[in-house]
Amino acid sequence: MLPKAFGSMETYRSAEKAGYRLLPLRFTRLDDVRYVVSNIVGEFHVLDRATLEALINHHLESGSPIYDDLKATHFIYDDDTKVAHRLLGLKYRTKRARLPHFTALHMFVVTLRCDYTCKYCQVSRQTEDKGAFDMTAEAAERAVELVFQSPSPAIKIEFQGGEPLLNFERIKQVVTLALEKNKLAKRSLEFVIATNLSMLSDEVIEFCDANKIYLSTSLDGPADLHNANRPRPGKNGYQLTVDGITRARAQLGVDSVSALMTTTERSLSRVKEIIDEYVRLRFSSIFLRPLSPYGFAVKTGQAALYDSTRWLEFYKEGLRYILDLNKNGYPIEESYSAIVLRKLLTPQAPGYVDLQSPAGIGISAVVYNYDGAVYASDEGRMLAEMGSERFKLGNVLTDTYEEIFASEQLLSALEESFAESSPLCSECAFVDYCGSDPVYHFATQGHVNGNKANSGFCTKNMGVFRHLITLLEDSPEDREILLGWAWRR
Amino acid sequence: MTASGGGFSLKIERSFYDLDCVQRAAASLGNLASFNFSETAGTLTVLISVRSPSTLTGKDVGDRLLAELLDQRLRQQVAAETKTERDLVLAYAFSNTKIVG
Amino acid sequence: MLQLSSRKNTPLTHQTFDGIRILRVTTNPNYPLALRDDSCLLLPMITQEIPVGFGAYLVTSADHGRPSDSYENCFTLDPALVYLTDGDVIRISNSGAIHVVYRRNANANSLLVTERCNSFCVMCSQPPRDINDDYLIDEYLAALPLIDRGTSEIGITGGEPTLLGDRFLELVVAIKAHLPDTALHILTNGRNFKNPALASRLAEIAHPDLMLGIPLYSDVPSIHDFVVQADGAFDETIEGILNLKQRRVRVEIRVVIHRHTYERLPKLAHFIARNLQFVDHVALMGLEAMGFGRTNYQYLFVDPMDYQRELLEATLILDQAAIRTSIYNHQLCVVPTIVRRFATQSISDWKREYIASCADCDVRGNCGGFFSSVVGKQSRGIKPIRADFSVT
Repeated sequence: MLPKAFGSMETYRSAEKAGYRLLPLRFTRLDDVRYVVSNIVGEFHVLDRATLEALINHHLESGSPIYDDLKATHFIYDDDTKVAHRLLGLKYRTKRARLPHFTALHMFVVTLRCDYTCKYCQVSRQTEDKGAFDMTAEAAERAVELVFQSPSPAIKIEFQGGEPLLNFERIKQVVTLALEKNKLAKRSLEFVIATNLSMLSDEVIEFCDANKIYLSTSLDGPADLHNANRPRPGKNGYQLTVDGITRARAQLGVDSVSALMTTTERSLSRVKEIIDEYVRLRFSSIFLRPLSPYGFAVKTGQAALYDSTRWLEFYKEGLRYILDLNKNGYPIEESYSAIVLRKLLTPQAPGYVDLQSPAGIGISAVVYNYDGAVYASDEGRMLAEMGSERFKLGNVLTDTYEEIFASEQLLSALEESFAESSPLCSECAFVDYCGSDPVYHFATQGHVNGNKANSGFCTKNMGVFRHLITLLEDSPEDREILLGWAWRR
Repeated sequence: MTASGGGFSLKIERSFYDLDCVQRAAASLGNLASFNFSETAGTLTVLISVRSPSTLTGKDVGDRLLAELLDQRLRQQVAAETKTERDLVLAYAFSNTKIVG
Repeated sequence: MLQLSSRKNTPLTHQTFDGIRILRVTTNPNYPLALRDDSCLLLPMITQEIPVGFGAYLVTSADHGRPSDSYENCFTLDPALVYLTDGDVIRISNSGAIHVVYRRNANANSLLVTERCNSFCVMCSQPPRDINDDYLIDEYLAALPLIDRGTSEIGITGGEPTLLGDRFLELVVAIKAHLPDTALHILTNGRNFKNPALASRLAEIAHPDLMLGIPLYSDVPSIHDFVVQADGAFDETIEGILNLKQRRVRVEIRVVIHRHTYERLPKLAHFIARNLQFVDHVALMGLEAMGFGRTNYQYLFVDPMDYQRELLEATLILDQAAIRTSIYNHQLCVVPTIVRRFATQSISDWKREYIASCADCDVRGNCGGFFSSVVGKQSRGIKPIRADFSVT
């Protein structure tokens, strides 16, 4: 006991006796017995039904651990404290601090030509001698001007295609021009070439070395799987990719090449082999991506074979395998999970375009097509190839920055798909971890918002959130690894 | 609940759950079934047609709807109680602060 | 423990001053004439010829001569203060009471500007006294020109320094003016910075290297309020921290680990990581048995061996959130191995000690040792760490 000169703990809790008030909160089922309850900035607790009801009906008792926890994490407040609102406001603002930076990712489709014939590729496959599908110097120059009109302090220029190295001259022009402009603009400037690595000449490597350009390639799994997914005349895509990775690393450094996989029907039963391939090649992360419903995929019926529920099984099996690899000493991260975990557990918002609300289209990432057309996203461009120009914002050759980025086209899509005011999303406990995907919903349901009960995007994401939260709650060993992914800088 | 020619129906007292509550609960189950509403003298009748293919019966969906109704009512309670709190938090969020960035 | 004050300094001759003087210590009899009036000469003996012009003379040897009456301001020096040396600054009264304001060789110097406080922490090492001690600031303002410009760091402490209002700010300005190259560390409960104007005025001084050390004892407001014995203190402290950080003043959060703070330590770390991730440093601190810390030691003390998990978790949560973290006032042998790298030698040299069993310890040189006040009451986990990992 403390001497009488000191007031007791009870004295300092007396203000709590008058009862507590709720702060904004949402709840959604985690499983048959538990709920995830989240506050206005996505901090969450897992509660059983009885506790949830007690919370909402003001039956929790002052001084109980759950009361203290919910008060400290801003789910309830009482007469004892008034700072909860200011802190929540600050946290809300922090999560959205990136918004005024506006467009950070600028994708240049420098050519549609490609030497591969992948079934699922949303890019049309024009053959090598059709110069009509290359970006012109003029379009490139105008696009770079638009890039630097974005206020973002960090700019990433990503070259795509087709196979962008087929128009290497254009890449050189854009990089050189951007570096020149950046002398005054002083942004943090980064370049990436998304390439299949089959055209990695010495000239290309030297240029990448001189200008700190990163390479991003596709690696779908072991040789037979990769080659089946990504057919190439010569049938040697896998070997070319691995050779390219080796060469690039040797000369540009081990972190110079990253790899992305694409999931196809063939991939679904082979997740461990795919991951093993990434481990074998010493990658530190793998992104278990779903198949998107655009481009050739729909034309050839791929997307019809594939749905979010089956993908979730693939994902869970893959994640389990990855976590076990971590426990056995190989620290490989699953990238999608890492992004979600960062939203779940940290005050920051990762700049991942597909999990943003307002949607990342245009305001976070934008695409400059080979013909100068500007699209709100890569998927928006694919949709145009399938016949709908809903997400075409303009053309670099004819339109101003304002006409493109403040177009009704873009703004209406953003407003109508805003998750926090969408049916079902507005009350979902996972809304702060999720995003809105207007292009996906427009493509699959005909409206940018869609009915989330029938949405593959929703099913997939809710599955991922529930799975990760369950692991965090129930599995201390996994939790430790997952926390490391969330906070890794 | 009663079965009637391919669908199941559920009666809900309007004094218990308002229409908004019922609609929201039904909306969240939109991937499982379609719902048809009619009302007589303070009682709402919900006709449930399970979407095929499905392993669920109309009663299964009805059970889920009832559970969801309970949740929805809790949500209504929270929303009503926290409207001013939300406005206050957002007022702070959009005031001029220089801590971030 | 080093003694910083003494009344046992006997006047040997008459004094020419009333009240007190602030003087810089020197052992150099040939000290420049122009500086002597503000200086105090340490002498082993009184001889017939002592150098003239000094503000005071302190005679260190017991066997000193009898000074002639023409010498003024001579005192014997209490042996407890025999460590005084060149560059130190003292306050001396005409009755011989000496307080050491500044020690050039100290690893840390603090200016205690008031004993008044608006909190009443259950473990306070400097229990509040509601007295008029406004004279203290005046003395420090007088001392500042005498303090060595090469001092790397200086502190302001109390009581609660901000209770002095304008005078507190005046002192900060003076420290910036006289010691432009010296880092300033201010210990404050932060509550008065709930007033944005005070935060602005401090920020506007634009001290080049300023850090405010502000305690936060729990993520739960009522628990923090209980520890500091003041209703609403949590809110005020949080508002203060936010106001300061808005104005880019550097803030360190300090947590003393004891009975009422150890259990929720990881949750406090989590709270800081989610709400205050912009703070510049967090210090997780061991309990000092001085003042109320001593009165309430039996009640408050938790053996670090009983909060190993909490300390480990809290440290890792903060580190993972990229928040600079340190563990203060814990011996290396009672800090979980994984987070030993966060432990620093934080105890001021004048109150730091080691115990007998430390003689065998291979990492003693890196260890911060003990507060003098806790020797005899230390953790059951104290034992030497051997470099060859053998267990003693």
